[in-house]
Amino acid sequence: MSSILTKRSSHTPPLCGAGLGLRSVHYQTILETLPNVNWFEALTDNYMGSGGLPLHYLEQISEHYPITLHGVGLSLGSLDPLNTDYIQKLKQLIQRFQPRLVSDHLCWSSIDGIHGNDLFPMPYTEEALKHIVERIKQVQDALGQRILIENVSSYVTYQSDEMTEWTFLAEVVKQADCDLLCDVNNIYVSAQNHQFDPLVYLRALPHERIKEIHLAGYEDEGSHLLDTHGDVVHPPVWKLYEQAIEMIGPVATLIEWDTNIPTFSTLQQEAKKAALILEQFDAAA
Amino acid sequence: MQLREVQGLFMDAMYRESISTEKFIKHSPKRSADECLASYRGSVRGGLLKALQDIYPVMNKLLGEHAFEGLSRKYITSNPSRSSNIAEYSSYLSELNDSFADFIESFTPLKNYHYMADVARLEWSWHEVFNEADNTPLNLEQLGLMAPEQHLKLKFKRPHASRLLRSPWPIHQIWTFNQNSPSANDQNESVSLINGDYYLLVWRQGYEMRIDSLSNIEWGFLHQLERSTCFSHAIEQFLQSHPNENISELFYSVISQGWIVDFN
Repeated sequence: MSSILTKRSSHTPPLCGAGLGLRSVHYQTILETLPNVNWFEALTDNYMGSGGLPLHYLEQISEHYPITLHGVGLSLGSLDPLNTDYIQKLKQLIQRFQPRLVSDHLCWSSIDGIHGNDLFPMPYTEEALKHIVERIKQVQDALGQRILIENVSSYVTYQSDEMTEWTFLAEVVKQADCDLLCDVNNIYVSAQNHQFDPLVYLRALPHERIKEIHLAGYEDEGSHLLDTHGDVVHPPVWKLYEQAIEMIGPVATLIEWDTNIPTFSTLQQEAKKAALILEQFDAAA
Repeated sequence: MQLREVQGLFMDAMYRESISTEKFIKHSPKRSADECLASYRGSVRGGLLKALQDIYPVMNKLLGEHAFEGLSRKYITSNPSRSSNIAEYSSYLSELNDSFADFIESFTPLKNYHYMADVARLEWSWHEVFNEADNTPLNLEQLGLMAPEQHLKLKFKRPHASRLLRSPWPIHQIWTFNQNSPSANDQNESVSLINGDYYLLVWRQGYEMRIDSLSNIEWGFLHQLERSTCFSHAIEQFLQSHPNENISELFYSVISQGWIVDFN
């Protein structure tokens, strides 16, 4: 695995600046106007088909922009067997599009063949830690490259929890030798829902392993925050993002927007805000 | 509590209502354990409902949003997702016989709307074909280099991105009629539900999605080509039920329509 990583990193400049989540409603706009965007993140699972328009568009867009692949289907924390068909298709996508980064989540989604098609948080126990570390290693070996693991937003904590989420995540990254996709919005949402200090979370992460940051919008439901990816990034998340960048240094940052998808120019405005913060700390460094 | 038990209890709670949530979930400062878990239940079911709405827009229109949602929610609670890819939700698993179309067929409130299940089958075919593997056009030059007697040993194939459908209901007309907004359709225009035999090919020509109406002869010929191991066997079988058909003309016709794209 390490030889592949070294080979790639010696030829490809690291991903930087602000990128945008690639959504099908924007394919035409992107190809017709070739907007000034640093990179696009494609949702892996949308390109798992054997052919057709989605792959055709991704092919064209990847000719103009760096691409990252972000998945929701690995179900790394599940006790079900790893989905070898999914991993094989992911490998084919990696070979075809040469993404700068490949990521999935610190979560589980299925048990006994029944799927939730959602990102369920792990119980933070020694047993779960050992299990997910082993699975991440298996996936990395199968893909021949390191992947990024993203922290999910959560609405529950388990009776069986033995450690904090940030301790668990830091251990996963260390033991599995993977990289980290730090979703600042998810940290903020979970911090509000479970009443912890998001800065304690951020400080505990292995900063050198954070290769990408996600930002998105949430909805305030009164009793809790819901991570909908359907709005602009809210002010407290921008503030936490600034604190994160100050702590970690400039890291490639993605604006995610999955529901109520706005015009492309709205996405660009959000990306511009992130870029300004990145430039500010880049200049200071 | 072990990981297996936690995951089992959690998933049970996604598709069933009554579960002892406090046994494995903590309450939050503002919400009970059950309220916390309900966020996921709502998200799982909402995600699957959205998937059904995306795959079956005509069914949604025929039933109306409210009734479609009611039907979908009943389907979801009795048919949990069995794929990591939500776009595969409601696909047909032969061992379970649990496709959305099968569910509609056995759904008592729709027992007098016999055409509904076949409309759902048409929409599922469209959805599958959209993401199927691309095909290159038939290599006629390579075919032309072969002696005619060699053709008889070949197996001719339809595009990967194609599905043959047959229904006693005019599902193509129903589907086409419901592509327009109600205001775009003439108020006097309607689809006559004349019982008969309707033969369709749902397919993709390049990136263009198509639904072609076929004659029973064309449908039968394509169906036989699919079932047979080689061309001579297909001809033999087909002529048993259609002894007066001119195979050369028929073969030329299906090739020129783009319905045959490969052979081996």
